[in-house]
Amino acid sequence: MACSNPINQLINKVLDQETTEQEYHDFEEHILACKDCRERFEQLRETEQLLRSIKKVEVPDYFTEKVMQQIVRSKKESRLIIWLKKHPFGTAAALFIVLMAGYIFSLWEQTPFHAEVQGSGEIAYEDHQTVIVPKGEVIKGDLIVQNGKVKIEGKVDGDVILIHSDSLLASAGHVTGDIKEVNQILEWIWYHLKQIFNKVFFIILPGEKGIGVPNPLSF
Amino acid sequence: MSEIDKQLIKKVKKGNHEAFSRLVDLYKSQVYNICLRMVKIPAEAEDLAQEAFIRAYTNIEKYEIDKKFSTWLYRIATNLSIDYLRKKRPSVYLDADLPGTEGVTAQSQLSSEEPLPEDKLVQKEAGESLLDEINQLPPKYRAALVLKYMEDLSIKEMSEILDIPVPTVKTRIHRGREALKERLVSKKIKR
Repeated sequence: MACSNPINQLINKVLDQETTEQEYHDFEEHILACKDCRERFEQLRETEQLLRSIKKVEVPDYFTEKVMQQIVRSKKESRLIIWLKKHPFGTAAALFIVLMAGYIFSLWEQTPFHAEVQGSGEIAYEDHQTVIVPKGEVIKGDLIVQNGKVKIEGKVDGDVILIHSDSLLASAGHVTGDIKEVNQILEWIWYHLKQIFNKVFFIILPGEKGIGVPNPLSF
Repeated sequence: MSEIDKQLIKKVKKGNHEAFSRLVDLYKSQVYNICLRMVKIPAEAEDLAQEAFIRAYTNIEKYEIDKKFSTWLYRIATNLSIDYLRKKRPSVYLDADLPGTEGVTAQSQLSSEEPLPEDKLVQKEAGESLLDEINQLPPKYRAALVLKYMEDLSIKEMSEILDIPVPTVKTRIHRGREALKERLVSKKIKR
């Protein structure tokens, strides 16, 4: 390659059709005089012609159909993903709700047997699952039983709240208040929220005395 | 950007499948041919072209309506093809710039004296061997030649598709053209 870089650049400019009139004139002059550059220019121009002569290949007939099939297949997943990407807060909230629900549900399922008297009076235990209000005993206040059974042989001068629990032999005559069955998870959550609220704000309702929670393992 | 494209894309964004299949029909030939010239193997080119359309569909939200759809689509197809070549063939190209140098290629290092061919390179039966020679070029030069000469795109569009500045597009065309010329000339000499 005998000629200088500026000439090579000029040749590229000519091929790209970017020359000014003056530049083209200079190019023509040089080409006429210089055999190497003339040859080089011809070769490049032929290379270009060859590139332009390459014919397009026909696309297979089934192409569009195949693309659309794959799109339909991936559509459901991708729609969900697109939604999740577009709504980061929605995603976080949904995740939170799922985890919370799981947590609450596990609490609901796993909370151990537990009985509590809110008021005065003694209760006895029959086995790990059953609490008894003995004959002749009068409970002044509410009886709360969670995940167990209750036998009322004495009297409850108040409400009996059964959380996920059953009442055996409970005849209405022995309970002066209501027998509330909290078997729905939402009621249970509501009940607990009220409890937490009371604990947090130390609201002690009139007539309510804190009575020690009997330990079911101590009998 | 044609009005038809715009209308179709609006429909696609609303979830219209039919509109997208019409876009595929409009652009499948260009996309397939870009991929084919980049990777040479028809079956691979078909897979890449399909993948390009699927990506366009799943990312349609990212596409800005005031830009040219074909530019965006060709960019996806070119990038997929270049990625494919990178994974498939990590071999050294003679025409590639040597590390740490600009414009110095292994080829220019190998042969300092250039052969001066006496006759022209144009041959009628050049077809297949021409494609083989193109296929020997580094992917970035190949992409430049494919887009310029086969798709007949402007430098400006190429700069958007390849995501490189206009002067770099020109350099790649010049180098690619030069490298291909050298290959064709040396091949002619050998025969």
